[in-house]
Amino acid sequence: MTALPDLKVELAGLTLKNPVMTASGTFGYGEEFADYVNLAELGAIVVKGLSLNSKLGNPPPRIVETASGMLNTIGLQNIGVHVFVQEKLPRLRRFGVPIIANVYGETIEEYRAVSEILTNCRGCAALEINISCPNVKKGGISFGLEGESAAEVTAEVKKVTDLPVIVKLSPQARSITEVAKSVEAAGADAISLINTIPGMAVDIHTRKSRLSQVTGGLSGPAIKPIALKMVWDVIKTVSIPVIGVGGIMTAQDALEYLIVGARAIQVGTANFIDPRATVKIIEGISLYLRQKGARSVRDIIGTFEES
Amino acid sequence: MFEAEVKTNFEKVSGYGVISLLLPSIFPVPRPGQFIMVRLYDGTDPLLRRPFSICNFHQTKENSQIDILYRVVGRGTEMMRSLRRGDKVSISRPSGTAFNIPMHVKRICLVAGGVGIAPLVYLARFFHRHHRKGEIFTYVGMKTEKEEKGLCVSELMDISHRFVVATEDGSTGYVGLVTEAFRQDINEIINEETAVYACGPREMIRALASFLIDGRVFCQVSMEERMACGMGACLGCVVALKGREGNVYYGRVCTDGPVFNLRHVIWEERK
Repeated sequence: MTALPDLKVELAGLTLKNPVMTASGTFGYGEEFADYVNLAELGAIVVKGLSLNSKLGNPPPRIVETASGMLNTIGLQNIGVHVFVQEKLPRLRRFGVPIIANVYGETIEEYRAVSEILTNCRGCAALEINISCPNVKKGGISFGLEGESAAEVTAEVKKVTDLPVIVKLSPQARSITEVAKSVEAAGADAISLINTIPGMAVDIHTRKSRLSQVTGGLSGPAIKPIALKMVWDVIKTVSIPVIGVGGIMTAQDALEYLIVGARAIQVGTANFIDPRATVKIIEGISLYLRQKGARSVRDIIGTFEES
Repeated sequence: MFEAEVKTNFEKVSGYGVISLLLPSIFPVPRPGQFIMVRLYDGTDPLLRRPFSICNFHQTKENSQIDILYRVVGRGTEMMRSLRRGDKVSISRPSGTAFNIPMHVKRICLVAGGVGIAPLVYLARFFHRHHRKGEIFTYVGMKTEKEEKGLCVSELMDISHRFVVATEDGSTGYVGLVTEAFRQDINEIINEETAVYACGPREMIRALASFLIDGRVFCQVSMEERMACGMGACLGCVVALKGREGNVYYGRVCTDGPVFNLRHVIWEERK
């Protein structure tokens, strides 16, 4: 019997058991999935975006299904960083999985304050900085459209934390590779992309939007080819690790991202349909490596042949 | 997640069906008001699971059976209509909050709008089994008489002390909205030992809220919202609720509901 392939990856100073993480906002605070998944088997859990104070979120309807995808406008409803640190984090830590906190702010000061609290509590493995949420009126995406503002948020967060900083980019950026270069220069330890793509759906009977906020963010298999191309573009541009996100439903999807050079991947919408999607993807990657005679997932990452 | 096998799938009248699913006997016994998430198809379009109320549940030594009442409204339910005996679907365990019947309650009033009757059928059977002397007053609203057959009302009719059908077009029973039919009777039928349970379109429940004054009558409602995960993670299926300190917050229909106390629901304007 041959040994199981080694799935370990190094990412911004972290050693992950495997390259499969959950995408922010699709895995709650982790506990919701504990009955379905042995959380310790995951590479990391990225929790729902956290702001300094709790946020109400947008009115319903917040979601609508579209062809092979879904639009959402949750509006970053969250319990706030203090309640997260006091109530959720201690319980989540017991599962023995690296926890990456997703940080959101309306202002640069808020990004700093949230990052500082999450750093001082000593329970998080890394911070993911959300400069890409399309569903809030202030903050989020407004910092992610241009390299300069993205770099400023990154540099300010770096000043208050010694944790690895992952910056999550938006497909709405004027040039996503420019934003990637700017956050790398500002000290980002890794980049994740993409956040959802803005979209809309119309009710032809009422002639109104099917969402409360007119537009929402599209996720799911519909966006995968777009996301994959953007991930590949960014990988060619920066030298820090890149985490691929967008429409990953199966191990095959995940492998496409790894082959173009993503150091890790995040599973999002798939968690809603199958709470065991992450572990099935991990098993599928392992099976693929065995079939290809590869001893490590690192032998596959970045092996894309352009011609 | 459980694999379920289609036992039967009847279209009772055009657009209304009842599907019976066979499940392993380890499937947890649902409480009235809970729902399941059904995945009808392995592909990506339709993508998400669909939530369905549990209309009935039986257990034998070998297996369990869930009945779902559905109306064909979109691609998911269209696909459900085409399922045949032996087809396999994936379903979640029973989720969400259940209707609560306080100890002192001897009479329940059910107010249903269309397929909203489904969880109330299961509740009525449960109440009838556990409160032999209890009374059930049922009010079912629909657009027109034809729907009556589709809404599997016959068993509910048999165990109800009073059974009122309201049709919007006046083709049978009370002419008008079900909430109006119910309102006419409330002084006569509601006392300290009565509880009201409702499920139906948002506007129906809103109308109920307008005349069931806060706190005086125990009333629980099953709310509906578009849902992605059905397990509390996505925060997609929220309704506005009154918090303990008079604050407003968004509660999840899937895990904080679907059953809420009517007095906790806030009726904000929808765009």
